[in-house]
Amino acid sequence: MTDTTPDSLAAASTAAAAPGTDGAAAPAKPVSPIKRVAGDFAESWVAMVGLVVLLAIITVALLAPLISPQDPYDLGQIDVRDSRLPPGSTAYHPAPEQDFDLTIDPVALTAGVDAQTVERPVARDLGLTVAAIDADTLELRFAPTPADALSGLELVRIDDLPRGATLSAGEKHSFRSFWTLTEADLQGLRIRSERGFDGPFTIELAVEGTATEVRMQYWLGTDAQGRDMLSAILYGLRTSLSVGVLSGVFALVIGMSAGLTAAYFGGKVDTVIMRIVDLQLSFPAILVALMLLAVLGRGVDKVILALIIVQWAYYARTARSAALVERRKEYIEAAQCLALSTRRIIFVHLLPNCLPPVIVVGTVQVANAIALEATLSFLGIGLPVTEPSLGLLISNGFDYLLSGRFWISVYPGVALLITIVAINLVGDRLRDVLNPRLQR
Amino acid sequence: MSKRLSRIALGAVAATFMAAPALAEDLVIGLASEPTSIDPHFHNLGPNNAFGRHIYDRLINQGSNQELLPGLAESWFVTDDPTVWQFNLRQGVTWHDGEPFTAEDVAFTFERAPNVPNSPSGYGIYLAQITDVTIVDDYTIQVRTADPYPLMPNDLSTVAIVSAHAGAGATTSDYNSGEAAIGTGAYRFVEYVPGDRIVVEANPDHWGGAPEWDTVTFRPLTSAPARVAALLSGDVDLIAGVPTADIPQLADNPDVVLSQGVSNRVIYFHIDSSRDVTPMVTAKDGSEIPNPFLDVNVRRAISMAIDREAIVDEVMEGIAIPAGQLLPEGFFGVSENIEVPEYDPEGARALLAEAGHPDGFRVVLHGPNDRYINDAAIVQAVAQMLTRVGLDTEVDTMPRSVFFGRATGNEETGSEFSLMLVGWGSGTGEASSPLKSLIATRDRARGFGASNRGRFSDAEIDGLIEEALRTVDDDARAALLARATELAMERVAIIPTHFQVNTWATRPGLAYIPRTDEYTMAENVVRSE
Repeated sequence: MTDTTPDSLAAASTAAAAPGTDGAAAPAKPVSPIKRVAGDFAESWVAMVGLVVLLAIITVALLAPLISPQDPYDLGQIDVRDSRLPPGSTAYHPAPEQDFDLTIDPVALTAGVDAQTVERPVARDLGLTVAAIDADTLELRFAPTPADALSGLELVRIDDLPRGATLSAGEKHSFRSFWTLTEADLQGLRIRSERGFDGPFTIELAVEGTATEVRMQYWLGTDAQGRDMLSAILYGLRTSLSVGVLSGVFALVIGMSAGLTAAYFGGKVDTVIMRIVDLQLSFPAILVALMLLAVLGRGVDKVILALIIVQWAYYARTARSAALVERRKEYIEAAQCLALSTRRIIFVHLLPNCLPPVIVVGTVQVANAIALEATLSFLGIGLPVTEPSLGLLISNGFDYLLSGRFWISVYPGVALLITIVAINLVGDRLRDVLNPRLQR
Repeated sequence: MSKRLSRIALGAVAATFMAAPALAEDLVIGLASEPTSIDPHFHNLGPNNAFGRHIYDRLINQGSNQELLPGLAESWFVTDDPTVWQFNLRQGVTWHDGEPFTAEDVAFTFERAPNVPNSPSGYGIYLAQITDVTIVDDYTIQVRTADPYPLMPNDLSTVAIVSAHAGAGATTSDYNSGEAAIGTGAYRFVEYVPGDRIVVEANPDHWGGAPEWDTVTFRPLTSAPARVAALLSGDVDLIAGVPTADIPQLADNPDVVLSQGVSNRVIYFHIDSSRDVTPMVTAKDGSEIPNPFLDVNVRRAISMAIDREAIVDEVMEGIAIPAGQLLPEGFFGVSENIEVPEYDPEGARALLAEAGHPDGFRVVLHGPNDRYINDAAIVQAVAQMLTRVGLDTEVDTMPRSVFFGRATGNEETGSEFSLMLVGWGSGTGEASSPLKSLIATRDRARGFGASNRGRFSDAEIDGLIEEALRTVDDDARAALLARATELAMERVAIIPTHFQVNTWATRPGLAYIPRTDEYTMAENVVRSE
């Protein structure tokens, strides 16, 4: 294995530098091929921008667990109470709140107060007294301790009123039984019942103070489950890139081996392999992936497997066409004359010379794989719902576009777009650089 | 390019002009889910029942709050023999083809409804109590049951009456083609194009008077955003199933009228309370453990760990009611003593520890993702809450076509799941329906526990349910049903989360009278000017 590297590099340099006139002009300047490729690549500033962006995306994706504010896959960290917050929202620690059961006796005009929640109490004592205005109306008077306990409240709710009773202030929920009030409504609040009161009753008073302690800042907002969009996008990029790259690499290995084998042996082997490739390519990729995932089930590993099966044929076809040309060249003949093993000829001599077009296909296919994974997730069959990738995030946000919560769908969409464009820019430039016909 | 644009614009203008006069008489309804057949006895499914009511009457109809109203029967009562119900039929009613309606048709219906070939879920459960049908005369019919059966009118209010002369030998496809779709209802069948539209026209000779609309077109628009868009663009006059996400926006839109109503549907979790090992629960390291849900305290801990207010406020955006029992307040047989369980994560942890699970366990929650309002989001929110009390929780949601088969499982081994989200709407509008189907011990032959996917079984509760079903006195029956519900909730037979609230949206000038049975019906559309 150790001799592979220099061997293949030398071979690559011959291939890459070989001009259209088929070896008539031998390489004049002894420039390292990698340096030459890098130099050519850098000549296009568009491609350089793409490369920088791509490297940045790869970096943040790799560092996602370290830099993201939240682990969006940990159900214990996300809170549905923070759902659908717009970008830039601040989430606070829960406000102090307290529930009271007010037992009111309309005849004796006494009131008992039973505080339910005392963990972060709003008031120690409500100082509640009751007065009868007439037979059908009672007035509640509060003198709380501390005196300002019932001011500056975020939420006041009264529930469990006797059947048919109404309040003099506040607003009843349209279909639920509770009333929502402001703190001002509490002063001189009257309960009225057309039918009068037929005995002591208990109503529930819930009050909530104002929250001030910052718990979390959601720079890009949250989704419907209260997931921080920024974290979800970073983790989503991670999934998208790893799925794209892993499936691309495996498909490349399998496809290239198949393509080289077909080209080297020709005849029946070639026919069989290439007909399988044709068969594979005749189905739309998305259809095949859908069927495979329906059979395999959910999971990152299954998505990768499905994408490998969908993609290998592209590499096989590209590798074969490149290898067919190389196969007839003298250096292969020379290797055969040296009685080298077939495997060594294919993988050490033939393979490196077929690499450039395959690399170009590879970059484009990685972008395709990412898009395909996003499509599958968008359709809801790729990854589990609790571990959303970019496609699933976009799909989740789709339901909220009409209601103006654009951030759930748009930001992951933009992230996906930038990633794919960056990869394509790099891939396009690589194609230009590695294509011998475009050599100056 | 600009030419094409202007053509589109012109088209839109023409459409508005054409739509305006037509709307006075015709109604186009965008449905969230499509009926699977025109045959009223083929599939006992909400959309089918709702649509069927336009073409066919029942002996007893259900009003918007599922109250019983005279339909083809003008009156009904228990005869001197407590096991015989008598129904006096309406006279002078004709079928859509002009033939007179008689008791023969009713007898034919009772014969046909439970015996439709290939029916995925039929109406046998509503007719199983009947042991004998006697035609007294053309307009009087009696049914006999083995035991006194007070729910006969409720049960019969779900069975569409079809005609004997058109229905004899007719198959489901004869109904779908319209050949046999002859009813007595307010609307006549015109056209059924599966996946596209169903059209009915007014029956001017209906016994209840000619209906409001000349023709009614039902269009299945299963994608929620597409449905809303169709209403906003004026393609349809009414849509069912307005997505909760869009409600605040639509409420501010002067071109849309929203109508909201509490439904009879409780959303709840079935919890495996019978098997020694349950398939979707393991220790945190993945090893098999005995089913923790056999312990009522573990089931109670799960219930306490669920923050119902958060589900209602956040997932449902306020459009739901937290649930502690099987039907919302105001329905027959509801207990007044049951409170919505308090959210108490610390209490849940303590209960789990006490029950021998201080470190929790791993559980997979299952649910459909296209059946109930925000179903998949509810399952995920509950997964968050269970994670917070120390359980490793995973979520698997799937389309209803896959979900319900797996959730019910096969007869011997039971459900493939351990903890699953489902909903139940009480077809009869009272508490015996969920008690009998979800909580009674499974007994297929007698129709008990038909949807008891957690296979909960409790002899005392079974006894109360059976006694209630035999009790003719309404107050006594309500008390028995309430008591059975109290015990079932105390022993955590199922874990209710909330009651669904349905929203319909109409164009201005119309309003929809909400129905507790969630049905979308033309007769509930009223002009609001």
